[in-house]
Amino acid sequence: MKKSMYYFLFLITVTFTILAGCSEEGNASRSDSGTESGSDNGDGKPKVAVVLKGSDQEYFKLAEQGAKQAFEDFDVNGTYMAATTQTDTTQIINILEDQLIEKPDALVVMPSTEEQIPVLQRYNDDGIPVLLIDTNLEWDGKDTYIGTDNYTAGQTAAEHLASLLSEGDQIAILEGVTGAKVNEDRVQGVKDKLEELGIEIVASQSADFDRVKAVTVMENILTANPDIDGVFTANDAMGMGALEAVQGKGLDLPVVGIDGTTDALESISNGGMAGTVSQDPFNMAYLGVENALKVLDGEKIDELINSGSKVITQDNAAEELNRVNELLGK
Amino acid sequence: MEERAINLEPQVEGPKKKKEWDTKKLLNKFGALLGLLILSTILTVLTPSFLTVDNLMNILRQVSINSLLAMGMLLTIITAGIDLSVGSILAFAIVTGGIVTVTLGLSPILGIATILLVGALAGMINGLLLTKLRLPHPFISTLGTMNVFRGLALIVTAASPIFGFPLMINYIGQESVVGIPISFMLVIVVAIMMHIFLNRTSTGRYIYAIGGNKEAARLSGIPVDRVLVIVYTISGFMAALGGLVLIGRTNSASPIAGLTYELDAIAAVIIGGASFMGGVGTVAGTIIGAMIIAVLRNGLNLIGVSSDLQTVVIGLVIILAVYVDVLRRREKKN
Repeated sequence: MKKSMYYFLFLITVTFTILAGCSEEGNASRSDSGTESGSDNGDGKPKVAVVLKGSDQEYFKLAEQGAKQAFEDFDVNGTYMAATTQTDTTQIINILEDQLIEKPDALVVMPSTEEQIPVLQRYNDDGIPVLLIDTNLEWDGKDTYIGTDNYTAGQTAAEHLASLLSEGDQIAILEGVTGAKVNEDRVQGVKDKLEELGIEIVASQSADFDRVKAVTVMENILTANPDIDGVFTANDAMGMGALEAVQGKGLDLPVVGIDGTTDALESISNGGMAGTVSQDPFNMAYLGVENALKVLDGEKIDELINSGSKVITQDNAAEELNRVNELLGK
Repeated sequence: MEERAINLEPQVEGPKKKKEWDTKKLLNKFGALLGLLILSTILTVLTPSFLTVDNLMNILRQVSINSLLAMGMLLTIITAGIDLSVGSILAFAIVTGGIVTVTLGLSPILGIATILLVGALAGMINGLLLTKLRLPHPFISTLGTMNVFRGLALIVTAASPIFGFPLMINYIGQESVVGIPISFMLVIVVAIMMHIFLNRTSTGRYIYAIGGNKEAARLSGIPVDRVLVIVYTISGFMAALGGLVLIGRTNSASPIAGLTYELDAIAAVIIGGASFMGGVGTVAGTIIGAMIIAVLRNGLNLIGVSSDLQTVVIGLVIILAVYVDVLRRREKKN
């Protein structure tokens, strides 16, 4: 009996030793914090924590790269942490609580929903500036919001889609997670613009920002509305799924998304998807860290900072793909 | 020492086996506790932030919801069952409470009562599906209701979260008294009650008996169906209680709250030494199991291990915990 217990303990110890090794190697910016934890800026470097709502998409990896690049460029004692997936809204709360223990000088956070406001309020109470990136929250405590204006991005995407169609044409919309602000803003932007341009929306259903779900939902929409002329999807992952369904039915419809993920860019450059509006998560996180330093220096920053977005078509998709791949180190 | 002896009583595995179960249970409990202590020691060495009052309070706050859900789950697992619907029940219960207090603006007391009642009723439905419709296994009935309650939560809220709860409801999940989170005090109170329920009441003993051998329990006159309905009702109620804490933590009730919570609860119960075969498991072990998961995540956050790796570690710990259980059984046989 004792033997099995030793096994268990031994394995736990080994796992931890390995992990400890991993984390120190993998997070260089982190390792120098050991010497100065407790005392605020032991070596004068400002301590900035960047926390993201997820790590299971390329989008988040780009933001991670942006944050780490900024840590390096501005000589920051930075910490980067991310929750596993954005649907787990409590994990990011736990991470934020844990980071508060380390008493960073400033926090750059990509939240998932308003559920994180109470914990962000605790940063506020401790006098730590909080800068939101990518996802805006209706919360007075934030120092700024840096990101894409999703409503405008939706409108831009709609304009591009409409330019490929003629007045009176019918389209379908694949929505993301219902209730998520990013989704509502994008879809509203698209709907308003399309109405203005005289394009009819015959179906609008949610596929939870998920590529696989998008295939099924799109297939069903095509069965019910075989005559549609185009598709808008609230992100690129669903765009790729929708394209799959469209091509599976032997159709050739323009599919337009938002985000600018690498597989979408590749698809666009090969004549698959008809276009996307690319966001710049790298720039969001980079600007987040840069502006956090400005706040710490007592500088005044804008309440809303646009991280930029642009229309990607077959003409510029390859170029954008190269740029993103370089950032991802591919 | 006394309480451990009491734990053993309900094992209806035939009187001659009693002694072996004795030692096994002891080890079961100590094993998890020892694991937790070693884990904490390692983390204390690795990061100076771990063993601070602030951080320990964080851990207590973070462990509360899962502890509550896991205690409900424990009952179902002792009966050799499972409750996959706890995350969905949590969401459905808190959004109904949200509608009562925020949307309709009714009294917070009514809100709390609604949350707990909805949770208990939802759990009761699980129990009735199992016993009245004779669905073959709770895995199936609760898999069904997991979808039903999640869908209902989305429908009644039109898929949007509800914000701005009155302080009285937020109180449990948000506030601390003398630095200790109220949510964790709630866990302790509930744990003591649950422990007494399982060990000192006839229903509690029946629960172990059903898990040990359902047919034997039935033949010996135990009202198996009634006990099972009670078990699932309690599990639903505990999910709602966890939801009440979640509202305070987030000042909101989201229809997608509690996604995959059932898995964390199951993990806590199993790491805490309960067996999927039924008949085995303790409240203390379950709380320690929940603590191990919370401490692991907290410590890894502090060290700066990515959440991807954290997921791998939690998975390994579950496998290890079950493996130890397997080894133990094998040694017992020899």
